[in-house]
This record gives sequence, C-alpha cells and structure tokens, in this order.
Amino acid sequence: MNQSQLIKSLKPKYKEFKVSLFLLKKNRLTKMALYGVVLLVLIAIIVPILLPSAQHIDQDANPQQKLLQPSLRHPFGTDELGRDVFKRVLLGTRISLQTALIAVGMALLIGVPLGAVAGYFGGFLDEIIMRFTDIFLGFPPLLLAIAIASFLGPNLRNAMLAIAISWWPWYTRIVRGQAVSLKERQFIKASKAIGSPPRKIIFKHIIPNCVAPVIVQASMDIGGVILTIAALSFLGLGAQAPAPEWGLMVSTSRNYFLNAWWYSVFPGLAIFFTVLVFNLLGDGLREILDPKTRKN
Amino acid sequence: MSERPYLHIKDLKINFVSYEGEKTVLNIDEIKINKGEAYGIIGESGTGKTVLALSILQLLEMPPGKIVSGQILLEGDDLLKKTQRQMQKEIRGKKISMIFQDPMSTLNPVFTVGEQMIKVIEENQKLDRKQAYKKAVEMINTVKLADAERVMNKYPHELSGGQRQRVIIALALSCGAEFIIADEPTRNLDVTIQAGILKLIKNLQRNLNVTVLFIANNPGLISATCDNAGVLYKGEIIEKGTTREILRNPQHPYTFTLLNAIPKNKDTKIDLSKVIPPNDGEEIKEGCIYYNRCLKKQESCKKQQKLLNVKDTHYVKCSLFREGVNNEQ
Amino acid sequence: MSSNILEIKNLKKYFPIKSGFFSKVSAYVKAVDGVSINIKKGEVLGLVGESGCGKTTLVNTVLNLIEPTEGEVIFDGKEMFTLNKKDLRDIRKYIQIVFQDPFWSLNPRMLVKDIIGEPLDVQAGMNSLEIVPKVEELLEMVGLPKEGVYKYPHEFSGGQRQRIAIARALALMPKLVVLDEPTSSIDVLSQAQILDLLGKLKEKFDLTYILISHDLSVVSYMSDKIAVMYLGKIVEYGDSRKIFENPKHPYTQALFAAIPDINTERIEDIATLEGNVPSAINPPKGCRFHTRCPKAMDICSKDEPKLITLSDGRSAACHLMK
Repeated sequence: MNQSQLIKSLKPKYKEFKVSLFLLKKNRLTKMALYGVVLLVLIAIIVPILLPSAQHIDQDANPQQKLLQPSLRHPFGTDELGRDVFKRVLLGTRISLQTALIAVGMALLIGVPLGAVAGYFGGFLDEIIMRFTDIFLGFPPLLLAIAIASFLGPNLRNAMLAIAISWWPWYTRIVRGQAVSLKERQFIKASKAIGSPPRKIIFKHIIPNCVAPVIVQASMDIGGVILTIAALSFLGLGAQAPAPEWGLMVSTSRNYFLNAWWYSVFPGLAIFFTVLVFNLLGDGLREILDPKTRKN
Repeated sequence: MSERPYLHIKDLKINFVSYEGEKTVLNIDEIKINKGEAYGIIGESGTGKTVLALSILQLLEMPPGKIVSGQILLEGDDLLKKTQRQMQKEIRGKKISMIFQDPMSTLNPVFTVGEQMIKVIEENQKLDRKQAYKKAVEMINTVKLADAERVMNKYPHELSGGQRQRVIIALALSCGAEFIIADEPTRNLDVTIQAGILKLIKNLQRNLNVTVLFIANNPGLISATCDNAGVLYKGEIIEKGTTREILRNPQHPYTFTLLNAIPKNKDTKIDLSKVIPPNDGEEIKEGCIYYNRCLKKQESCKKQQKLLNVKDTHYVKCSLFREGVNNEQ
Repeated sequence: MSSNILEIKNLKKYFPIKSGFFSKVSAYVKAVDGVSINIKKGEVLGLVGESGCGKTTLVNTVLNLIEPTEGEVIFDGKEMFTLNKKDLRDIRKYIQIVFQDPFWSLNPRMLVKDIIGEPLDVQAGMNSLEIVPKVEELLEMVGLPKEGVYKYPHEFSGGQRQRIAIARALALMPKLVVLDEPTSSIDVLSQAQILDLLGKLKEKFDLTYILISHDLSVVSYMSDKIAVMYLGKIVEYGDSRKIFENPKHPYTQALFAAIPDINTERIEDIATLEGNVPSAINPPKGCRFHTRCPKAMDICSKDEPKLITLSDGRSAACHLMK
C-alpha cells in the first residue's frame, strides 16, 4: 500500500472516530470517565520521569519522619519508613495500569482467537474449546488467580500471568457468541463463495465485527484486573516490597491503621478511583459503540 | 364538508433531531379517513410510512422524534394532546391496533397464544376466564385459523408467519379495536399466504366495519384492498384520491415514475429515461420535495407546492398539473 | 461438448434431524428431492416457489456451500463433487452470488475497496496496489463513482449497496451468477435500475444467471426459463413467456393468481391457496401438492406424477397433463 492510499483509507476511519467523539460529548458521565482515564495515563507516563525512582524515595526516606499526618509537605502523609505516600501512590499508577493492560492484553490474545475459532467452526472443536473454558469459568477468577500465582511464585510478572490465565475464558465466551451469529450473515457466506480460506474469514470478517463488545468488556475488566492485582499483592502474591504497588501499600498499612489512617486510605482511594473510572468508561463505550445509537 | 371523518390528520409535521441538526421526516397537509373505510398509503422505504403509523399511536421515540405542529383527530379528539397514560388506557389496543411487519416481535415468546389472548380479553372486557376463553376461540375462528383450540395451546414460534399474523389480527379484534393500522403486514410472507391475509383484512373491513390504514410499498396491494389512498414521498403526501384514480391516471411525476418502474414482463422493457437516479440534480430548500429527481422540473417548482384539485376525488401536489405539463406523460 | 453451463442431475439433499442425547438420526428433512435442470450459457433461469420449497438449498449446493446427499452438479463440463480442493477453489471463482439484503451482505467494518477487493486478493492474489485501480474500474462498471473506494457500506443507499455487491460478484469475471432475491429489499426505482444494470452486464460479459425471487414480476421481466419448485421438487419447468401466459400446473396457477398488481381492482380477483406447505420431513404421499390442490383427484394421493415434457417443450409434473 502506498502513502496516498493509506491516507485515503484512514479518512473514513477518522470520520467514524468523529461520530464517537460527538456521542461521547453528549454523555457527561462517560466524558468525565474518559478525562479520568486520560489523567491516570498521563500520571503513569509522566510521574516516573519527573519524580525520582522508587528506590530514590526509599533512600530519601527519613525514619525520623515516619507516619506523619497529611500536611502541605506530604499531602498524603508518610509511611512507616518516612516515605511520602503521595509520591508512592502516584508512582503506583504506572505499575497498576501497566500490569492490568498487559494482563488483559494477554487474555484477549488467547481468548479472542479461540472464541472466533470455536464459534466459526462449531462442532467438535467448539465442544472441546468451550468445555475447556467451562473448566476455567468453574472457579471464581480471584481464587484461580491466587492458586496460579502461588504455584508460579509470588512476583508481579507471575501475578500478571495468573490473571491472564484466569481471565481469557470470558473473552472466548463473548467472541464465540458473536461468531455464531455472525457466521450466518450473508457477508460471511459471500466470502465463502469467493473461496476465502477460514483463516481470512476469521481475521477479516469475524474478529473485526466482535470488536465493539470486546472493547466494552475489556475496558470494564481493566478495573477488575487492577482490583485483582491489588488483592494478589495484598495477599503477598503479587508485587513485593519495596515496590510502590497500591495493594501492597494497603497490606502493609494494616499494621498502622489505628494511628495512621491516611496510609491505608489514600492507596485505597487510588484503587477505588481507577476501578470506577474504567467501569464508567466501559459502560459509556457500550452505548457509544452500539450501532443503534450511532445511526441517529 | 359533510361528515366528520373518523381519522383526520391536519398539518402534521414531525422532525428528527440528530447530530447533523433537525430534519423533517413527515410533513402531511391532510389525510381524512372515514369510518369503515380502507385507506392506503403507498410509499417506499424511508419515506416516513412507519413514522406516520407510530405517531398516530404516540409510539414514536422522542427524541430523536419531535412533533413540530399539527393535529391527529380521532373522531374529533386530538390524539397528540393525550398523555401516554391516556393513550394506553383509552386508545392503544382498545380503539386502535397496529399490525407490524414482524409478527414475532409483537407476540410474547414465553406464553402460548391462548394465554396471551385470554389475558388481553380478561383485562379489556372484564370477562371471567371461561368467557374469555370462549371469546378467544371465537376470534381465532374469525381470522380463519383452522383448529382454534389447538392453535390456542401453541407458542408463537410453533406457528408459521402467516398464522402468527392472523393471531395478531385476532388479538386486535378481541379488544374490540375498530381501527387497524397495518404496516406492511405481508412483507416477509409468501405470496399465497399474503393473499390470505389481504382477504382477511378486507373482510374485516367490509363485514365488521373496521377502519383500516394499510401501509405498503407495493401499489398492487393497495389496489386490491383500499378504496382511497395517498402517495407518500419524503414525508409528504404528494398525491391522493381514490385508488383507482391515482393508479390509472397518476398526475404527479413521482407516482407516474413509480408505477412505470414496476417490471411487467420480458417484452416490456422498463424505460430508464423515465426512472432517473436518486438525488441527481440540485437540492432546493423550499418548493417541491421531488425537485431533484424530477424529469419535468421547471422554475415554478421552486415555489411552495400546494395540493391541487384534479377532480373531487383526486388531488396532486404539483404545480405543473395546472400548466398541463403532466398530460404529456 | 454441450452448450450447457450447468447441469444438475437428480440432485438430493437430506438434512438429518437428530434427537435425543445420543444424537440418533430420527428423520430427514428432504430439502431437495431429485431435481434435474440444465442451464444453457447466457440464459436466465428464474427459480420460483414459496419459502421452504428448497430453492436456497438447491442454490447452496450449486455454490458448493453444502454437499449434496445424492446426484451430480456438472459445471462447465466438470463434475463438481469429485474435484479436489484446489480445483474446487479454482471453479468457485466462476460461480458467484448476489444476496438479498445488501445491508447484511457487506461487512460493515470493511471499506468498499476491501469488500470488492476480497475476491481479487483471495483468488487472484493481487496486492493492494493492483487492487485499488481494479476496484475503481469495477465501481464505474456498476455505475458508482470511483471515489466510493474509500467509503464504508453504510455511507451508501440500499440500491448503491446492491451495486457494490454486484461489483464484488463480478470481480473475478464469473460465468454463472446466482441472484438471490437481488431487489427485494430495495425500493422500486432502484430496483428498475438494478434490473437494467444486470441485463446490461449479462450482455457485456456473457453471463448466465440463476434468479431467485418471490416477486414474480421481476422473474417474468428477467428470465428466459422458469422452474417452479414445491417441497423440494420441480413441478413445472420451461420457457418463461409460455409459463407466464399459460401456467399448466395447478400450483403454478395458484401462485400466479395470488399476486395482486395495480390492475387488481377487487380483492376477489386474487386467489388464495388453502392450507400451509406440508412438512418436508414427511411429505404427502403421491403428488406432494395434492393436499392443497383445488383439482386433486383420487390418483393424486396414490401415485407421484413424473415430470413429463409437454408438446410446447415445457415440462410439468401433474396427473392432469396426461
């Protein structure tokens, strides 16, 4: 494809984007959620550049100033080692977002093609894939993640893997359902009549038409995954000290909760805010991506 | 003017609001339907047929819909002034019933036909269950469904498309509806089934004095069932009168084109010079709605068009008619 | 070498009905039950019948989307179901289809260039540099501006979408095109234009059409030959003009009489056919139409009439024809 062709084929996509933007503007709650997400992403990118690294904060820590109340100098107070909680909460944004994105990304990478294959081919293959996902869905996701994480060994990377492994079956289900109804559509039949191989039909016709519900689900899941990572870290199965991970912070803060409420509350609020914002965004996207709303 | 018509639509204008701004989807000067008459609306998809049907019942979604002006008088009562609650209590299903294209969406899939009918009859006519059952069977017989008692025990999905449509008509009648709006009721049905439904609707109109508003894109269906009809184009009635007059002696260039575009047989080729491509030509803000597709357009068409009298029973919204241009067709 | 582009010989397609936990086959739906038709090159065959009569199954077999239970389909001298995968893929490009609803037949998430370009990519292995000019050419051929290349289907009207579908079908220069209700979801004016376009393209590229439509006026306008199907069988087959002027089989007669047109003045002028189409799982014995036939005789419920050729060249399956 040459350049002018590329530009021309991007134009209609841009037009679609503008429609989405228009719908977004009409929906105030979603707009706010989007601003929230943008804010979080900016924090995740910029803060680690501006602030000294986590280790630096650790070295900076002054045991004399441990568990100080929130003040102008330490807006969120300090922790048991005298580290600034505000800075650590900000630094934690990147860890949470990054892990959640990668975990959901991996789950998508496994779940979506499997679902498309199951739905498109049907029959025996479908049975096998879907019964396999049923096994996974039989466990509560957190429990499964805990089991896998403790089996793999407690660190952030393994927690991520554990979450991806316990999360993909949800996408498989969604995509399979879509694929089953899509495969009866005439454009799939037309493609078959042309002689397109199944690989092309799945990647060009089925998966692109499943995008909307998957995006909605994924953006809501990011909230859930962040919560799960925090939970794993809280249980000691995720991030390890001294990483500034929210769940870990909440976990350590338990010991000091009675005399230093800020130490638990602010990381907790960060988790709450992030999860809320992603859930609201997902909810709004559901409406925006709905073809019925787009038509008018 | 002698009698008051049963349904009288006056200056009805409905807009749709979208992100591109407001657009007029319906702009009807006047439709009069007498009691016990079958009135046809001929119109292609996207001309506002369904909007018209829904707005009579106040079932139009608002927004995007917006009623700018007008009245819909049912026996002198303005339906647009009624609240949703009043519509539900007095009009919908009681006086006016609607038959949709897709009968499956009207019936509840989890109840048998009988249960649904009995429930509606019980509620509407204050009968006990036994009497309601009797009445339901009677109604199913009226719509000529064989084996009424067996049909009662079936679920909607167990019936064929034609049978479902008959059940809907039976439901409409069982509430004592005296006015039926049929929005392309035979669209997805086979021709043999279609013939049956058409006959049924026609018989109800003739024998039970039911008033019918029949909406279709196929002029043939209107021709077979309706006494009077209007041609809808982009939300405006551009020609109206007796069905015979409109179809035999079309005066508006659009009606003429529409009738000529229907294929007849192998040896009569459609003259495409009489069927020009859609939206080919300049857009005008005022004036004739058909301007940009019209083959006979002139300067005078850019002025506001009025319904002109061809005969007592035939009106056309085309200023060219006066100038005799359309006679050359 | 015959001039037949397609020969269908005694084609049968039975769909098994499975019941119970162990998926035992309890019965068969006889969707197509012994159909033979020959289509000459350059001919338009109209396929007529109520829903469930087996039209779609018949066409899907021809398109090779499903395997028949029995019978042969010979396309351009080659028996399709004995071909290996590669030859089959090659032959596929010569048989294309245009579907009824142009809204569902075009992938809403693809640009027109990718929709029409798909067959060029899959079958001809063209790269995107070669595809775009070719798609532009195809668009102009079906009467659309070539700027449409970089648009989504939803930016077009129903009639225009159907043109896109036609362009896609013609991209590989097929020999046989199946038109499955090509105009039933677009308005009358667009229909006239599409029919005109189809006629011109047929002349230009020497195409053969199989036209399925419930709108008999369209069938009569387009077809050279007509096959009327009822419950998986052909009941009348022959020259389109002759059949429309003077239908012989009672079912054909009933079908034609049921349609109102703008000359129908009274509801009494259209005829209804009593009853519903019987189930294809257990079709009636004897003539399959005898349960609804106004002219049924004793013999009709006992013996099944064969498709016999009449003096004027058409064939019909009815005991009255003897």
